[in-house]
Amino acid sequence: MNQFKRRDLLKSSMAAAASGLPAWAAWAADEQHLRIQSNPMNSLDPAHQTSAGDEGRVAILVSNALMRYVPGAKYDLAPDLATGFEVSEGGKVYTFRLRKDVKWHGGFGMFTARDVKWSVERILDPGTKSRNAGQLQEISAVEVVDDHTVRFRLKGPSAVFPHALATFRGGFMMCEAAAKAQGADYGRQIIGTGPYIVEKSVLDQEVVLRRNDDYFGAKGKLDRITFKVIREASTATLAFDRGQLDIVAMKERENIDRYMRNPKAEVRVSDVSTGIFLLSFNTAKAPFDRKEVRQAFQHAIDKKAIVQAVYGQRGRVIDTVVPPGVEGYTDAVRRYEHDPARARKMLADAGVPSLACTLTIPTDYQREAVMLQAQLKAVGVTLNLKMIDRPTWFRALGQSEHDIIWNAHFRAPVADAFLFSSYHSSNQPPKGTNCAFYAGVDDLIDKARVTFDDKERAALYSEALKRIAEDSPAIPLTLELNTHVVQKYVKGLGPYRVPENAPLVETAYIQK
Amino acid sequence: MNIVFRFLLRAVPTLLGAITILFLILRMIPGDPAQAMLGADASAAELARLRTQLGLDRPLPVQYLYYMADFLRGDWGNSIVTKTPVLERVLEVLPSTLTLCAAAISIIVLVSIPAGVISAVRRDGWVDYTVSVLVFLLMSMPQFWLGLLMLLVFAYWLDWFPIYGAAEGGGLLTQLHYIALPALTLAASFMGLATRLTRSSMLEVLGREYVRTARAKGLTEPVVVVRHALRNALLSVITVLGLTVGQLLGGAVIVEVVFARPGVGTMIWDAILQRDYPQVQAAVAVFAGLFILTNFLTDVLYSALNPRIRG
Amino acid sequence: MSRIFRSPKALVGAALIVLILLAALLAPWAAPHDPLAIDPAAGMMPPSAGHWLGTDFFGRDVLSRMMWGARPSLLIGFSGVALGCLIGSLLGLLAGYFKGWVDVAIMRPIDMLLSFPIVILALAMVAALGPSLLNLILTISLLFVPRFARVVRAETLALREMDYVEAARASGRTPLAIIRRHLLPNATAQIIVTCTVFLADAILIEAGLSFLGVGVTPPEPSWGNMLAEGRSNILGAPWLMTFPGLMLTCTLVGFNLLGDALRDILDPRLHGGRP
Repeated sequence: MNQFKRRDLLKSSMAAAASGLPAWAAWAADEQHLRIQSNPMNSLDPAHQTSAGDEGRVAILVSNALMRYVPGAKYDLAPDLATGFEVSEGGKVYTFRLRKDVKWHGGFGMFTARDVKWSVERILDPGTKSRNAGQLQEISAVEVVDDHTVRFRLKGPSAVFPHALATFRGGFMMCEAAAKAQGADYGRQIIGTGPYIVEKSVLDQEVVLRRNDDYFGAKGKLDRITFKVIREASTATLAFDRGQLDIVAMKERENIDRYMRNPKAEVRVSDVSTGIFLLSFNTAKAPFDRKEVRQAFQHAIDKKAIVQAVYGQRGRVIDTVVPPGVEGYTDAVRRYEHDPARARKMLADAGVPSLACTLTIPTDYQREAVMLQAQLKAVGVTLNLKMIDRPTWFRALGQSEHDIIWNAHFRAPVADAFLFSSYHSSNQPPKGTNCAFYAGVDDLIDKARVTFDDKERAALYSEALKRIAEDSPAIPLTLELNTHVVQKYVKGLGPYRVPENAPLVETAYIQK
Repeated sequence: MNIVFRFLLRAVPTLLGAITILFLILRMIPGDPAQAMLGADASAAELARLRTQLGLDRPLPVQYLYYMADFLRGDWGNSIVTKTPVLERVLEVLPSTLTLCAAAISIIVLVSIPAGVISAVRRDGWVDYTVSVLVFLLMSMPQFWLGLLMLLVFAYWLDWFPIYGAAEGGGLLTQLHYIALPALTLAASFMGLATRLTRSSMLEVLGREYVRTARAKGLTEPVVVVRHALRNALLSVITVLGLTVGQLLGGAVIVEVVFARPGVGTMIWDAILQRDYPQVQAAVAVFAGLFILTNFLTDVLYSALNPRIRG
Repeated sequence: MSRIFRSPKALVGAALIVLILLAALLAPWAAPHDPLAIDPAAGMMPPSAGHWLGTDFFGRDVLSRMMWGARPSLLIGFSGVALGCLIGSLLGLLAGYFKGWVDVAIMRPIDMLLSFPIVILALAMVAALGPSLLNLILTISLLFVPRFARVVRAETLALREMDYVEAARASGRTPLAIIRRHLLPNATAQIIVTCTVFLADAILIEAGLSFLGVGVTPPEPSWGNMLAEGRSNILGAPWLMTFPGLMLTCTLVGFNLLGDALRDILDPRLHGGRP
């Protein structure tokens, strides 16, 4: 054993000397340390998390929720901190049984039902000013039945409640004792129950995690994981090429193509997505109140060309307003072939042969905008571009000034999450973000919310999707499949998982 | 004491005025913090609830009064996004920005002053000419372009410097290693001005009476240069450097973002994108405060030098 | 005036500026391709015979876009500085001549505006107003009004102590007449020099704003947004960043050289003034 180690050490120091690094650095480089590029994070506190992706990626390593999403394309829920649950009173009461072997980091004791009650009530408390209170709004009361049993009473029956307690933003559990001890620092030095512990956290610079050897589940192989905040995409690319980062997110199609040819890197495209990009018409404004005009646009737009040019591997053409894998998804919806001649005719028949309209779109999606402009020009439509920044865009989605607006739906993988807020008449602006002002599937959505039979519910959603494709209040363009570029020496990376939309890191390790 | 009092009398209203202007401008920007936080899928009900929690539903003058009252008491509020005190956050990252500016100033001084002196002494020689050309080139390059080019050439191709971040711990050498490229990029634009100024000040002084007298007295050239000319020229240079400190602070924003360095610049950038009003206001207040302070010191120096302006 | 033609610095500077101006003015006729024409198949091609400076992501010709891109950059820069100069110089003259409470009333808000880092103020203003051409010009002019005011005020303060100004005042001339006949002509030289230097800054700021995404909106080309688009391909397609940056640098060199030369020429006479 000793000889083995000594020989290895000698080998690595010789290699190090040859490459010019000091010997100690080479040995340290063999440590299982993964460096991941991240965007700036604001808070790891479940009450204040804003980004399911950037913050969620760290949160899922450090914390747990009652339920978690199973990695892979089916978006099923599996128990995490819970071992199971029972539904009673027609869907108004949920009783969760909890694991008994879960320890909080930092010596804060064992996880109990009291922590669940405290976590949930804290988020719902108006004094916390939590932005994620909406996620738990169906809850009217939480009861601690005993140390390992907790009961939720809801305001109304719900078949989809467990999703509110899954590994998504406000669903992560907090340690009451730790939060009280840390006060305002809690958002940074999160105490969780997960496979990694927060060692250092400067949220707009980097977060460093180290392995938790007391984790109740499968322990990680990496000793350390660092999330390094780099805002500038080109800086991140340079750092990756120089071996200073191990995983980097990549958006530009030409960069992805370049890395696919690079023998030292691996491009991992997500096979799950809870994100769709679409164009929403303002059906309350002429001429978009006419179905024929909207359908003409469907024929004018060449989705495949846009996806190929702008997204490449990262996109996949979609014709429904709900992504595949979500319950109720069906591809038996009306499809619109790319047919400029037909589009021209339809527009002429509708009395608007040379239409001028405006597309409101965030600057991040410039490339798509340019292509849409060119495609619509070919059928006589002059598309003016109104480019705005993200917060302005969020605001515009809740108003009625646009003709056509770019839309992005990144939601929990539940059909209701996609359909209710965007296509139910009760959510038309200014009340909500149904900026298409659509009202054609209210009956189906309402019924599905109280249908407990899975098959029946799925059928209702499929019907809704078919109707929407026919009426075209929105044109779905593409899925967004997150893409990461990974150094070849990183092994054991799991498949992508929602809602972080990043590859599973718990099983990864480095092998050079 | 009189000077300090006069300074405060001018500085405080200026600062408060700047904050007020910023307050108004920020609120003219479409999209408010509630919107930025809740994102694309917010229902009006959620937005309304968050706005009430954040106090955004009160009339604007009321919001302003509450804010100013707290501000004057030293309570600058909490970041809407991280819920931690804004002033603390700014003070945490300020040293990083100040270090960057200090490093840039050091480079400017170490490079520009000798360059300017030599250019003046050997006027119209090849050194003067080369320096002028270089100076103009550097002054004219956009900082964000220069920064990326330097990253590409020195950090990537040549691998002489690390590509991102700031050194955590590590000795002085490591710190210097990390700060070199950002500081050079920041300094580049202002090196030109400093060099030219040193040169023209030196030229002016070298032509003056008492210098000719010193020469006539038989003092050797280097002595004349250093003892008389340089010391006087430096006064004007310091004046201009004082002015550039303000611009340096502004340039630091760009350099920090390009080089992924922590600092007040990246903080303001993020905060504007997130409509985190209290954070932007606090960071800008600190910036503006520093700016006003250095401007005042510069004005004092300028008045002292140029008797025609006094009074 | 003739001294300008004898100064090599001024000539080179002016030549560069004229060249760029020509490129901008003649773009509709001289540019080899339509700057907005898309051809994704020919995207990201390095410089070649058909496209002297290569193509960008959409197959648009970089050279044509650079020539067309000069227009908004120069237009915004010139208009912004002109407007800022007009308003700022007027304020500076008034503040410098009348001093007293007029000075305070004018300079206090000016100081407030000056204490903002340029980048922040520009960002906030454009975000608030929206990135239309007019708003960009307004934003740039707002950035320069205080700077012109400061410079002209300093100049006026020095000039008003001149003997001939004293004499004019003693002989009972109205302030307006004094400003118009004595101060303004002598301050003009300084104003012109300042304009030239600020022009370079203004163009740079516009490029910076477009680079950050809040300036000229795509797909209209501007040097700034071309640099932004090229940024993400710094390794794969370096020509996208290099050429617009070089052109911007050349333009700025031109203005800086000219401004510097003018300053050298006009310097000795700045503090003398004509009676």
